[in-house]
Amino acid sequence: MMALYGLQEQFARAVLAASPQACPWLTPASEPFFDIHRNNTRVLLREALGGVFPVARMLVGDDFFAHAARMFITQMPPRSPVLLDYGRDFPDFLDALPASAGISYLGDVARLEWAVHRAYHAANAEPLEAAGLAAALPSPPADLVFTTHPSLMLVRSPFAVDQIWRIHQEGGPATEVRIEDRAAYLVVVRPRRTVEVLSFDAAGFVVVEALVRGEPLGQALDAGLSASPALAIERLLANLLTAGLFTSAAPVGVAEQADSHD
Amino acid sequence: MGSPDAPFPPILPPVAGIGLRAPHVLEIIEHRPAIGWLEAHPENYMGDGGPPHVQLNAIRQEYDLSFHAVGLSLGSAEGIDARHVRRLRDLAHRYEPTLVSDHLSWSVAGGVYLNDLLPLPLTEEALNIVCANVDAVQSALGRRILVENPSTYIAFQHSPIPEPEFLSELSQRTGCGLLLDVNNIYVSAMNLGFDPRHYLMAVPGERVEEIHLAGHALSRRDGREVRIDDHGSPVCDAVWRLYAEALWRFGPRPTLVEWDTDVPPLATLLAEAEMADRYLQTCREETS
Repeated sequence: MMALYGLQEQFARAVLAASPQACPWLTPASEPFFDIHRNNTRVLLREALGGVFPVARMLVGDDFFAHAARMFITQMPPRSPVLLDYGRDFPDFLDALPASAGISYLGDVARLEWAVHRAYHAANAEPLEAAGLAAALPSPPADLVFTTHPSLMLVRSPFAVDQIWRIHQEGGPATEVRIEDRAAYLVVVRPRRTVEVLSFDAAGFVVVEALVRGEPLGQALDAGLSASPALAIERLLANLLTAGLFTSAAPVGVAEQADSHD
Repeated sequence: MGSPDAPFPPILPPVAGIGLRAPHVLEIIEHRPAIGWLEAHPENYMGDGGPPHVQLNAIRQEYDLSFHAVGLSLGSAEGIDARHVRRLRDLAHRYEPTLVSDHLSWSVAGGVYLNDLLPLPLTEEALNIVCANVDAVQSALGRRILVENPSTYIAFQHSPIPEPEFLSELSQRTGCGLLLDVNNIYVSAMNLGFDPRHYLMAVPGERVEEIHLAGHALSRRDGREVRIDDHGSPVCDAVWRLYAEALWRFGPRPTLVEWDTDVPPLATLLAEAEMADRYLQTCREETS
């Protein structure tokens, strides 16, 4: 008789194995049914991934997706019973699959889907309103430091993955996508109930990245201007402040205090 | 018959409930169907925020809730994942479910989560492990849990303790209640070749605080029939008959109808729950 710890280790390995393994701890009559557990794990985890990456699945088709998911599950099985956390590494895994080479933007689409999924389940926080900003204002605006909304994630791709993603949403636009026409600089955020995918231009995105890193507004705008002297600062600021990317703003130095306050 | 000296009387009303599934959530919030209670998988609500919590809150305002966990892995020899129990405790504080349950099974080995309810060889060693795990969970949660009998497809070479006896001993040693899945009894009985009525007779009825019902699928492997507990169809006649017998033995118990694959319209699930309510009503009339 084998101790339970060792048996479960072997059992788990046999469940994840690519091909059926011998299970000497089972009665010979029931050994063929071990496959039911291999199948359950595979199908349920594949469907969990399919729920997070529906567009990637549509792009490659069910068969390829099942094949990729099977390999991913074997190589990187979940480490937590909270399946909402499973799939973070799937976009990188797709990039590394030789067979994905046919769709060079597949990993980036999956990264966008992961960001949307995380934003959907992220902590709630009230986005910064004009009133909150006004309260922070006596200092020179260039000194303002912003606190990022907990749902915010940045996604960047050399391909127009936001367009691909949009036309695959229910009720999305039925336009033709020229995926290689432009890069995508995206902010994914859920200020309230709905996840937003916001597109920026390269210079605007430099500003967002700097603000997310905690740089003061003036310094972030300078970085944007060096990326593109034509940066339309007023429009960018209006976009940034109405899109709910931030939860608070405070003059540099007192930002920490303001953070602990909300 | 319901034992009058049951140490832990069920605290959900002995009426039918349904499993809360994503495609039905908005319809339930909007139309508030007359259903006794709802059961949710807490693991689906372990994100930090967002619409799932808004929805579960709205549902909790209207209905009694039961938490049916799938991730505690009560049968793991490596013990319980303390982080997962803390997540469950926090969620239970937030939503105050009437019952919390998980399964007599395991899904974690070497820190890997297999997302299936895997069977245990029923030995003294396993009994000690499951008891220690249930004790750990109950003390971390600060409340009792129910443990459910699983569906079984395979038999271990060495598994000397009959399942009802194992569950009975577990319940006596840890104080946990039992969640009796009548469909699982039937599926295991057909797959392993035992009489499901004998199983029922061996279950300590006063420990049964909830009953589950679901549909299963008939499949073939190696030229042999096997019943798969896929929760993807109506409850079958044989399981309804076994349910009637369980009620006759144990008295009315809160009863949940589960449906997880090919989830039907809410009305179909509610009709299954109405059927369970009719059985419960008959049971009450016969035992009063």
